Amino acid sequence: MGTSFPLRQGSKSDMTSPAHSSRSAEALPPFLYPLPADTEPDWLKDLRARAFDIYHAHGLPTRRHEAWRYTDLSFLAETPFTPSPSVTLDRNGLESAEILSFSAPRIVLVNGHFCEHLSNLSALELGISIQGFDASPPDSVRSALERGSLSRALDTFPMAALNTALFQSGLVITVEPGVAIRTPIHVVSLALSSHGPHFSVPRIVVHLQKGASLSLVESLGSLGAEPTFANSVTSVLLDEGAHLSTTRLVRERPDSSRIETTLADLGPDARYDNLTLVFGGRLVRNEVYATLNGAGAHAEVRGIYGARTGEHVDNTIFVDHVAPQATSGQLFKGVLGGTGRAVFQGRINVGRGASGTDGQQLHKAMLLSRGAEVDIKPELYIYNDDVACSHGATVGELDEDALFYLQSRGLTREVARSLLVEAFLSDMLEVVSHAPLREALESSINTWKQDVLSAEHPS
Amino acid sequence: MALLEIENLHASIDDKPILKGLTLAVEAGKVHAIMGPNGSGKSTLSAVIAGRPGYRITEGTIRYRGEDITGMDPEKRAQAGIFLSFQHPVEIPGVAFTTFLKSAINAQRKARGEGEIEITEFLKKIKQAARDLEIPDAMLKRALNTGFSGGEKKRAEVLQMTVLEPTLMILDELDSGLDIDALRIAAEGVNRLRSPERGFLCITHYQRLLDLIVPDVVHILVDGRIQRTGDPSLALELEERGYGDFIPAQAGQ
Ligand SMILES: Nc1ncnc2c1ncn2[C@@H]1O[C@H](COP(=O)(O)OP(=O)(O)OP(=O)(O)O)[C@@H](O)[C@H]1O
Ligand SMILES: [Mg+2]
Repeated sequence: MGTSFPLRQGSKSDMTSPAHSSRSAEALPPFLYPLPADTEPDWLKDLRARAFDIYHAHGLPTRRHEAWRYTDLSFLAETPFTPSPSVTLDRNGLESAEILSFSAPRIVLVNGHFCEHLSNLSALELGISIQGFDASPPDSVRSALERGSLSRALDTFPMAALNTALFQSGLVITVEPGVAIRTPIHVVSLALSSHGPHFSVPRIVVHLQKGASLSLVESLGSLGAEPTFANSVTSVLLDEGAHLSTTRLVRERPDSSRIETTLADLGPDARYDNLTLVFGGRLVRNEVYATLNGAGAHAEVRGIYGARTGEHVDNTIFVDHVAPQATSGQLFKGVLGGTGRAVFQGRINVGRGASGTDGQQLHKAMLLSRGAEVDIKPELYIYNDDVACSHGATVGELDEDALFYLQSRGLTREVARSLLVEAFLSDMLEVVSHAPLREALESSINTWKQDVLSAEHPS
Repeated sequence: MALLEIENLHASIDDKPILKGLTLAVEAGKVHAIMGPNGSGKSTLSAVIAGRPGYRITEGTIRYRGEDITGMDPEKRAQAGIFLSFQHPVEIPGVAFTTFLKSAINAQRKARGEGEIEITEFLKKIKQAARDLEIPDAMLKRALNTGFSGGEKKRAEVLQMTVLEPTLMILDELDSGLDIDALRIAAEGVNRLRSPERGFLCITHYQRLLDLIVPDVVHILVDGRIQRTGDPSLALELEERGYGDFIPAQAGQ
C-alpha cells in the first residue's frame, strides 16, 4: 500500500517547501507530496503546512477511522494514481461527459483547471465575480479559507486537509453585498485521465457577501479510459442574510471515484440549500459539513442517489448548530440495485449556545435486489435543552401489491417498477424552482433509472 | 365456448389450499354473481384470474376465450381484456392518476398493435367518465388512490374500467365502502358497460348490489368450491337463510 507519488508536473524534486523539507517522499501517506516553495503568501503557506501535517498524521482514512467505517478507500492506495497534469479538453470531449443540459452561464474545470474556451461567461450579471485560478488562489479566497470553522474543519476532514495542502487550481465565486443573481451559474468540473490513472484536487470557493443570493448548479464527473480520483473541496462562506442554493449532479464512470467535501459556514439568517444527486461511480462520497454560526441560519441538505453492482455511494452529512434559533433539514433518498452499496451517515450537533434549534433528518432507501446493501448511521449530539430534533430512516423494497395493481391495468412489470421508483423519488425535485434545471435533473434521473432497472431484469 | 372457463382449479398460498377444485364458466353478455362467506376464497379466485403472483396453482385450468391463461403474466391478461376491480384498491403515492391511466391505455393499445391514444380523445373519455361517475376533476389530478375515501376508490375503479373498455370484468365487492348514492352511481357505471360481448363476475355479500346490477346467474362459493349455482332467486334464498345449508359437512363446525 505504501504507494509513493511523483511530484506534480512542472515542479522539481528539489523544490520542497521549508515547512516540509525535513520529510522524505517515501514516508508520506498516499496522495501526499510536498509542494514547491513558491511565491505564495505566508497565510496560505501556513494553512497548507497545517493541512499537510494533519493529513500526514492521519493518512488516507481506513475503516478503523470512525467516520470511514463503512467506506473502504484501500483500493485507491492500490491504484497507481499520479497527480493529474494540466490538460485540456475540446468541445467533443465535453459533449461526451454526462453533464446537466440546460442553458446557463457555464464554467468548465478539467482536473480543476479552468477551461476558458469551453466556458461561457458572457451573460454574467453585475455583482458576481467568477475567477478561475491555475497556480495559486487569489487573495480573495483568504477570508473563506481562514474562516475559523472552515479552517478548524481540516482537523476533522483529512481528505479536505489533503486538498488544502495540494490544490493549485480551481474557482472563486464571489457575490457582492445585496446582489441577487437571478440566472443559475453552471459549474462543470470533470476529472480526466489522459496517461494512466490520475487524481486531482480541485478547489472551489464560494463567498456570498451580506444579503447576496445565488443559485449554483454543478455537474461533476469524469472522462477518459483510465480510473480517475477527484478529491474535491468546496468552501462556502455565507455572510449575514446570504442565500446559496447548490444543485449538484455527480455522475461518475464505473472505475472513477470522487470524494466531494463541502465545508460551509453560515452567518446570521443565512440560508444554504444543497441538493446533490449521485449516480454511479466506483466510489463517491458526498460529505457536507455545515456550521450554523449565525442566529437564524438555515441549512437544507438533501440528496438523491443510486448505486448498482460495483458502485459505492456514501453521503456523510454533519450539521453543526452553534448559534441559537437556527434550523436544519436533511432529506436523502436512494435506490440500490444489483450488489450496489450505500452509506448514509447523518449527524446533527447542537452546541450549548444553540437554543431554539430545529434539526430534522430523514433517510429512505429502496432496495431493488437482495444483493444491495445500505449502512445507515444517524447521530444526534445535543448539549442544549431547548431543541426540536428528529431523525428517521427506512429501508424498503418495491411494493408487490402496488406492482400487481399496475400490472393488472396492462403495464409491464418493467414499466410498473420504473413508475414506482419514479414515484419514490418524485417529491425530491419539488424544491427546484427553475423549470429548465428541474427538467434536466429529471432526465438524468430517468436515464439512470432505465439503466438500473434493465440491469435488474435484462429483457 | 364461454368467455371464461375455470375447471377444477386448486390454488394455494404458502402451502395452504384455498381453492379446492373450483369449476365455473362465465359467458359473454352475462353477469355472474358470486356470494360466499368471509374467507371462502372469493378474492383469491379474482386474484388468480387476474394473475397475481404468489399463488400456486396445483391443479386445473383457467381459460379465457378458449386460451389457457393459467400461467400468463398479469399485464398480458389485462391487455387481453381482463379487468379486476379490487376489493382494496392500492394507494400509490407519487403516481398521478391521470398519467397512470394514460400509460395503461397506451400499454394496452400497444399490445394490440395500435398507436398511442390522441391526448384530446383521452381527455374527452376520462372527463366524460368522471362526469358520469360524479368524480370531481380535482380527484383526477391526485396520486393514484392516495387518500381517496373508500367510496372514491371504488368509483375510481369503475372509471378505469370505463376508460379501458375491458371484455371480462371481475368486481370484487364493488359495494363495500359505498354509500347508497355512490353505490347507485357505481352500479350505473357498470351497467353502461354491459354488452353482448362482455362478461362480468360480480363478487358480493349483499342483495342490494344485485338489485342494481342484476345477475343472470348466482354461484355460492364456500370453502374454495362452488357449492351451488342457480338463478337470481338463489341470492334471495341466501339472504333469508344464511350459508348454513351450503357448508359441506367436513368444512362446517
Ligand atoms: N397471503 C396470504 N397468506 C395466507 N393466507 C391467506 C393469504 N391471502 C389470503 N389468505 C387466506 O385465504 C383465505 C381466503 O381469502 P380470500 O381473501 O380469498 O377470502 P374472501 O372470500 O375474499 O373473503 P372476504 O369476504 O372477507 O373478502 C382466507 O382464509 C385468508 O386468510
Ligand atoms: Mg374478499
